[in-house]
Amino acid sequence: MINAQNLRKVYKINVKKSGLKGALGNLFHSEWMEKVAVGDLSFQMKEGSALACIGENGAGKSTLIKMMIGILTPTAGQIRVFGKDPRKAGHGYLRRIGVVFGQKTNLWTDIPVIESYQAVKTLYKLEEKVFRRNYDRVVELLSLQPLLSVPARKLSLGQRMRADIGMVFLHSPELLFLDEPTIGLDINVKHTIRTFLRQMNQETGTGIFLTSHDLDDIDEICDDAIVLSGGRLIYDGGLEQLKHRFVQDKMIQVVGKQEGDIHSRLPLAKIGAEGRVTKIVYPVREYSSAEVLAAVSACFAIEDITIEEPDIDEVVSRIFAGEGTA
Amino acid sequence: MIRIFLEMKAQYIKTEMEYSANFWMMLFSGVLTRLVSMAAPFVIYSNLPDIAGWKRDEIYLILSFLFIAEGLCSVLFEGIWQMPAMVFDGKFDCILSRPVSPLFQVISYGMGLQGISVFLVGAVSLPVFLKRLDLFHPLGVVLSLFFVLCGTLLCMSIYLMGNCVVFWFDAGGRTTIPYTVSQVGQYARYPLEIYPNIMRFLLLFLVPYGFICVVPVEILRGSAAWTECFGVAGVSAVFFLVARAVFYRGIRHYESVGM
Repeated sequence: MINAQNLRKVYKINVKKSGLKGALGNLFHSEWMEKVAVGDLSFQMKEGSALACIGENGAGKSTLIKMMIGILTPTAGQIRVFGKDPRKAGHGYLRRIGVVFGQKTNLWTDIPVIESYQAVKTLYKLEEKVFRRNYDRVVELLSLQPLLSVPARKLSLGQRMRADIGMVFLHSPELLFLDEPTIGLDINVKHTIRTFLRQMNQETGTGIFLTSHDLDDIDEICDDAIVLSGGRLIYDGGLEQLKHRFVQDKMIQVVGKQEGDIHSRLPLAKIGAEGRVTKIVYPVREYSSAEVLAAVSACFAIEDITIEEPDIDEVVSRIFAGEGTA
Repeated sequence: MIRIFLEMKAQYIKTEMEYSANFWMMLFSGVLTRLVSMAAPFVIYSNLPDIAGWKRDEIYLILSFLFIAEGLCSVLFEGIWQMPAMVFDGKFDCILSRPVSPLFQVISYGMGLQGISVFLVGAVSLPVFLKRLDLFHPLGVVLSLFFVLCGTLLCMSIYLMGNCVVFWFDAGGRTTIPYTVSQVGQYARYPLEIYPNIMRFLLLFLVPYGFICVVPVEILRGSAAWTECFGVAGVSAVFFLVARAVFYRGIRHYESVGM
């Protein structure tokens, strides 16, 4: 669906000198600096899948999305979506995709939401039947009924985002680009939106390319992930493998009486006991889960046992801290 | 396409009417400012017999054409003035991601409320002064409608070109250039004979407000040949095409640098 080869985007930035003297200088000549927003990026996205793009602020996520939509020209390299160059594919291409920028709205701000939806119907020249079907579906799944007669500028952020996400599905896009779709939303709205996106991805096969800071978004909507840092690709693969690759420690919590010496069996693990609960933190490179479980069952009269899944938040902060990339 | 354009405008009028106080204020202020600018020729002509052989009512005819063109532009193409802000806050990205001509999307966006009253003042005064100058015959009316059409197109092209600077100069969505351009145009309220040559050239071919209002009146009063109608149509068409080209070139520039 998407195929990027050595994609690169360099911005020229006007460097402003500070102070009044600097400002006067800027009036007469300006200095330019090059900033690499995206550098030599190659990745692919499969038909109908949901791909997450993870990266800190300024990692080049928005630039990447804009290049894929065709509103930015890459400095070098090539990008193909549906096998074509988005810069040249024109309106036919834009008809097949949908775009939501979390911080901006696609709705016409001064007119009621339903009028924006009608405008989309006319602008995309949608058949009544297709429009009706999509419309009924998004209104129901996103509970948009009470919002339809309200002008977009009077909506709260969460309401506006629901209306925006609903609007992007009206023309049955085959591929969606979502730039931080849940930024600043409360947990209920986030949940509604995630469930909706996941459902649309699975039922209609709409491909989703999503950037986010919110790792739960990624966890709940996507299967695969790419990780960008400073414009470069530092990971490309499944979300599960991502967690495992960057996780160094796992923790097991055991409730029950200790009967044997766990220290001698797992000398590299950190063990802390609080009453009847024992926490064992072990490095995954040294011990397999089976080894640890065997040791634990030999040493404890187990009443209850939990293995903590690595938290993706922690995983990503590790990635950005540069650990585990070697 | 035209249907959706008119539907959008109707929507915007409906929205504006929700704030009735604001609505009436804007209408009132539009009428007031235009009436005040009509007072200037009145004062001048109470002290001078004529300006370069032009009668007072002919000056009012110039103003009528100007008001109609400005008013229609503001009602129909207000989005052009909002374009710098759209580029700055990223709304322009949304426009570019839709499979519809960006120019159409820009001009159909928003509506200038004051434009309604500016247009109304012009629409009332045009027939009044046509009549006073004995020009209210079928040919005069047809010519006037033709000039209104060309003038509106020309006015839109000037605004569009002025506002396109946003694609090259990132000034946080604010720039005074389009405003300056429209202010210069205000000098085309008087017969161009009174200005030095350079100013005439400026008002005819660089900021062609002359063709919106002065040249039409010259043709109507007979001081310019009727063949100048082709000049009016030609300049309007050329400026529209140039403005359109500048707009698309601006988008290309925007796409290569990003903001």
